[in-house]
Order: sequence, then structure tokens, then C-alpha cells
Amino acid sequence: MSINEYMSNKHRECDDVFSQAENFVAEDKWDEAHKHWQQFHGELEEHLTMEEAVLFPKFEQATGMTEGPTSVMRMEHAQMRALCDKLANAALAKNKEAYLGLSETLMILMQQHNMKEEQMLYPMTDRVLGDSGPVIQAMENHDS
Amino acid sequence: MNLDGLSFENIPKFTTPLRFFATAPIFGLLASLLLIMPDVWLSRWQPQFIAMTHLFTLGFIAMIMFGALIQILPVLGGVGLPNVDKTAPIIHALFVGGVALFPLNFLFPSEWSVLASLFPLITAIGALVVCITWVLFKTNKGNVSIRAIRLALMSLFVTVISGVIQLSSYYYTDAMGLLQAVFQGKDLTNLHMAWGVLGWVVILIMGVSFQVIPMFHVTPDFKQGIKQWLPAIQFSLLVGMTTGIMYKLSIMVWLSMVFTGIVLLVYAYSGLGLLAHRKRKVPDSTVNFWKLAFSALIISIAVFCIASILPLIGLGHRAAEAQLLAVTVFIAGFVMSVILGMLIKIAPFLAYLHLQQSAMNCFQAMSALPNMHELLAPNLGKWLFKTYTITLPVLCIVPLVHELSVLAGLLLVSVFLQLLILQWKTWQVYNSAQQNVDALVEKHGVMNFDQF
Ligand SMILES: [Fe+2]
Repeated sequence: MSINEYMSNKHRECDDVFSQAENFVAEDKWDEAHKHWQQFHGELEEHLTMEEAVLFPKFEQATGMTEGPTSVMRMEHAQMRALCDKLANAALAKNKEAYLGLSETLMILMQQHNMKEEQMLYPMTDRVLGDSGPVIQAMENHDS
Repeated sequence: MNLDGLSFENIPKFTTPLRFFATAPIFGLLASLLLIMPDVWLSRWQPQFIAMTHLFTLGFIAMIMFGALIQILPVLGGVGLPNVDKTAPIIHALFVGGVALFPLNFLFPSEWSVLASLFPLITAIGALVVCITWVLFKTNKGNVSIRAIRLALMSLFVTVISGVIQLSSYYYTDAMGLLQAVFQGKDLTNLHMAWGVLGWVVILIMGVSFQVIPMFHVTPDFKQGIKQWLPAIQFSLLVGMTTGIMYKLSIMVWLSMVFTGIVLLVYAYSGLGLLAHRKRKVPDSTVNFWKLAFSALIISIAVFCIASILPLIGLGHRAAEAQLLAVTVFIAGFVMSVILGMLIKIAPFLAYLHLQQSAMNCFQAMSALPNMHELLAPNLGKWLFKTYTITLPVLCIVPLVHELSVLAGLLLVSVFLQLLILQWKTWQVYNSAQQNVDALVEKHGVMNFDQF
């Protein structure tokens, strides 16, 4: 499996849980919503850390680009985290309107970010790193 | 490997695409007013009709597609137009001038109107096509959407050329005599329409939708075969149709048309299929617009089939009306719905993206950003969709019942006014949020994320 395939699958998994949480909020089912929101939040954080701690450094090492695409990606991760904080508050306060406005924003932001990674960054990483096995292994072993 | 192509920061300023999106409804309004004017369908209807359709196709449809292209290229291909915030406004100004003067060719035709309108129009479109083609050659990836955009631009090129030939042939008969000998009567008009609508517009929508539907609406992906082949097949069918017309091979024209219908049906069904498997269940007007668009596409093909059968059952005299109906359902039902749905999503999203850029690295500013729904209240989108579901059927009956054109025009006026108001509101929220963000960044300064 290439890094691109592996990471893209992770993105899809996150999307699924995220949508489930949002659907429950829309139906005012806050208990389930909360459960799924927390699951999503955990999975997303794990994914972001995996990239920042393992994948990006490997890319930067191989290409010598530290100020390039990965720095933009790190910045976008910070923005996603800021939105997640607000979403967590909205979920706690059971504020449906705020939650749906924020989740729409995070969704689009996340999809845009994922698209850049899946179409540019991951394929490039696959090309510069060659063998994807050890990298995927390192990401799986990484404790976030 | 081309690492230079990897820049994610080449995103144009908010005002750059917004000027295209904000001027488009104004041309939409002008076109609607022409529809309301009493003699559109009378003896002199043809020039006015052509003026109206071009105000709409150039001023509204093309205007928005150019704005969207300028915005989407850096994200899809990683490379934007050279110096986009300076070049795009010039292109925009020329295009606005050209479109505004264009109706003169039909309302008060003269050699001068051709020169005055075509010069800015062709300069604008030419500059855009050259710039974008240059950009597309620079990107290192043959992504499916990028490939579709290339084909769409080639189709736009053919559309412009065939249009220019027609317009100039009225005045410069000698030079155009040769070309006219190849094409007969309405042939060139038909080719112009086919390349414009089935090439430039449809292939561009296809390419963008492959990316945007799964991304914004969290649906499964389009099937790989569809993404890979549909735009190219559509393009080859247009080439086939053109060859058939040039060499008077009616069987070839006929086959190309049948297969175009099949391609469009496949596209519409797979689009509807994706939306049916959408994972997010929250109401979304853009999703409704997409569903409306794909359904209208299917209906328009059905109407076109009926129009082709009419002569065989002795109703040939109604065929022209039925064809006009099919085209109206196609443009107003499919193309226009796609555009409306995209606009209500893209305007608040871009506003957000830019606010976020300026809030970058300041935690206080980042938490003060308005969300998507604050930038555009979902209710406004809902209203637009409701108005349009009423407007569309009225508009589609107009080719059959001309008396309804005033009502259709008024409804369209309200649709375009809503578009203007909606964008104006987003702009206001954006502006005050921008001031807020600047003040917060000033007050708290930026922090370093490496600390985390
Ligand atoms: Fe990421």
C-alpha cells in the first residue's frame, strides 16, 4: 500500500465519524452526537500528530524543504485544531446552531486540506521516499 | 520532479474572484429585463433574443466560470495565474466592457459595434485562455479535473472562433467567404452552440464536479472510469459532430448526438447516485441545487429525444419549439442550478479562507472568526432554492407559452437580486470580521506554533 492510499483511507474514516456526529446533532440526539464527536476528535488529533511527528519530518528530510508545503500543512492543522476547540464547546453547550455552522466550516476546511495532501503532498512523499512500508509502520507505532 | 509547482500560497485575494461573482448577477438582471420587454417573441425577436442569450451566457455563466477557474487553479494544480491580483482585474474589466457592448451587435448592428465589442471580449478571453493554458502546462500532474479543464478551454476556443466568424462574416464577406463555403446556413450557429454548451460548459462542470461533490458533500467518489473518460469522450463526440457537419455526413452527426445523450445520462445518473449516498444528512441548499441540476439534465435529454421523434409522427412543425424547450431546460435547469448551488457555497468559503489567512498565528483572532453559516445564513440559500424551483418551470414553459415571459423575467429578476444581496451580506460580514481580526492581531500579536 502506498502512503497516499494509507493516509487517504484515514481521511475517509475521519469523515465518516464526523458526519455521524453532525447527523446526530441535526436530529438533536446529543448523547450519540457527543460520543461520535469525541471519537472523531480523537481520531483527527491522532492523524494530525502522525503527520507532524513522522510523515512531515521524513518529507522534509528527503526534499530539504522545511519552509515549503509542510509548513503550510502544519499551519492548517493549527487552524483545524482551533475550530475543533470551538466545536467541543458547542457540543458541551448543546448549541445546535453554533455546532452546525462550525461543523460546516471545519468540514470544508478539512476537505480542502485533505485534497492538497492527497493530490500533492502524499504522492510526492511516495515518490521521494520510495518504499512506503517502513513509514507506515513508523506511523502505526507512533504514540500520540 | 518539479517541486516548484508545489506552492499552496498562490491563492488570489478575496476581491479577485469576487468581482467576477458580483458583476455576473448584474448581467443576469439585464438579460431578465430583455426577457420582460414586450417584443422579445415578436417579428424582430431574433436579434433581441440573441442579445439576451449572450448577456446571459457570457455575462452570467462565463463570468462566474472565469472567476471560479481563477480561484480553483491554485488549489487543484498548485499553480495560479501569473500575478493574478493584477492580471485578473484587467481581464475582468475588458470582459465586462465587451459583454456590455455585445448586445449592440444585435440591437444596433454596425461594423463599429463588431469592433468595439469583439476587441475587449477577445482580448479578455484570449488572455485568460493563454494564461490558464500556460499554467496548466506548468503543473506536473495530469489530475482528472485539470485534464477536463484543458478540454473545456479548447472547446471555449472553438466556441469563440466560430462566434467571431459568424459575426464578422456579415461585414467582411471576402475574407470569410472561404469558411462560409464549408459551412451552410445554420451549421455554424449550431457548432457555436454545441461547442459552447456541450464543450466548454459541460466539460468544465464535469471536471469541477468530480472534485467538488465528493469534497463538499462527503459522498463516495465518482467511478474512476467516469472521471477518466467522460470528459474526453464528450470532447471526441464534439469533434465527430463537427466533422460530420463539415463533410455533410448526417449519420455521423446523428450518432455523435445519440452518444452525447448517453454520456450526459451516465453523468447525471452517477451524480445523483453519489448524492443519494451522501454521508452528511444536514440540509444543504447546494445539494438540492445539484439534485435539481442532474434531474433537469435527464429531463432535457428526454425532451430532446421527443423533439427528434416529432417529425417522424407528423408533428414536424412543433419540433423547433420542442428543441428550444430542451435547450432551455438544459441551460436554466442544469447549468444555472449548478452555478447557483456553487455560488452559495464558494462565496462564504472564500471569505472564511481569507479571514483565516489574516488571523493566522494569532489565537485570539482565530477564535473570533465567523463560521460559514454566519458568513451566509443557510436561510438565504434556502430562499434562493425555493425561488428558483418556482422560476424554473415558468421559464421552461416560456418557449411554448410566450405570454409567460414577463412573469418568468420577473422571477429571474428576483433570483439575481437575491444573489446580489446574498453576496453583499457575505461581504459585509467579511469586512467587519476583517477589521476585528486586524485589531486582535494588533493587540495580541502572533505566536509561534512550534511551542506546541
Ligand atoms: Fe494533514
